[in-house]
Amino acid sequence: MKQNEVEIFERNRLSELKTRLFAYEKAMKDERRKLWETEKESEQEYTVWSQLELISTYISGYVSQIVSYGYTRQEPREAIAHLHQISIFDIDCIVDWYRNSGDEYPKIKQFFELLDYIRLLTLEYIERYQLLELTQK
Amino acid sequence: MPNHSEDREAIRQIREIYGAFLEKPENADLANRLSAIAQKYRRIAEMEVNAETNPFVGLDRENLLMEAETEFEELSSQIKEAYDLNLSPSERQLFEGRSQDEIDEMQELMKQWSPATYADIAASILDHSFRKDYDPLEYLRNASNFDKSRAMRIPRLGCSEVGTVRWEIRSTGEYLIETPEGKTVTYGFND
Repeated sequence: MKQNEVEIFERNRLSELKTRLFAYEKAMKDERRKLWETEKESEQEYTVWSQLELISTYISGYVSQIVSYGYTRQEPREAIAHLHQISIFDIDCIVDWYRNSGDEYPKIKQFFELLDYIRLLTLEYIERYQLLELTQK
Repeated sequence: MPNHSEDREAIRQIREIYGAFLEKPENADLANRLSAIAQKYRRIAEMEVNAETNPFVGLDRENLLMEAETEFEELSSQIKEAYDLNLSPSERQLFEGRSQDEIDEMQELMKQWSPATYADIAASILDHSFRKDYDPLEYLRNASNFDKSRAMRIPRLGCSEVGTVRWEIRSTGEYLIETPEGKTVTYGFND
């Protein structure tokens, strides 16, 4: 495949994975409600449900830009740093919850795993197509 | 006798779709040109009546008709182009099939939002309303009506390390997350 064909293939793949992520989300409402109920009294600055909401919003935003335009309006280095910062399995409250929740939330865990995979693909896309372009100029 | 009601119907449609856009002061020129064309069609209709008694009117009428049709074709594509140029692809998708009143309301409500990592606010609203099973306008209205006086602010002061403020209504599961400047990043229900 030529480079632009590979790029289009990757954009389409990200689009499909985002659609799948949203389908997972719609199917996990019961678990999400349960998670909210267990966390709502905590008053913690970081709760698993709110991290899920925020990080999925940020990652979907970058994916949406790549799918529509092939690049992000943010500087590539800025987007890359942000995508590293929201590395799901480096976030304390999510790691603790993973460790302690056993097999109670299989759907949310599936969602997080797909979300993290999409985050890595997004990073790779920006590094390959935006950062490289920048350094070649 | 030829019937030009189709032409007049086309003008009516343009006015219905782009009415509010044409009312804006910066588009007065487009609006005036559309009125002038409508005026020509009225004259053509009058001439048709007179043509029965005066055969020379027929030729003038034909010329005027050709002129009006050409001008209308050109103007309607200019109006569509000017309208589309003002919108991003996401805005076009978000506003498709909406009345101008609804579009105006949406644009007003969208001022309360942050694009966050999206290309623009419209792209964010498209995703959020889809994810949360809302009609986009209803979603914007509900987010705008979020009652902070019933909600818990987290953190109580300032914002989190990642630069957000979260509002939660414990009794309902309704929440809103915003930037420190008060622009909405996401809104929904844990239900």
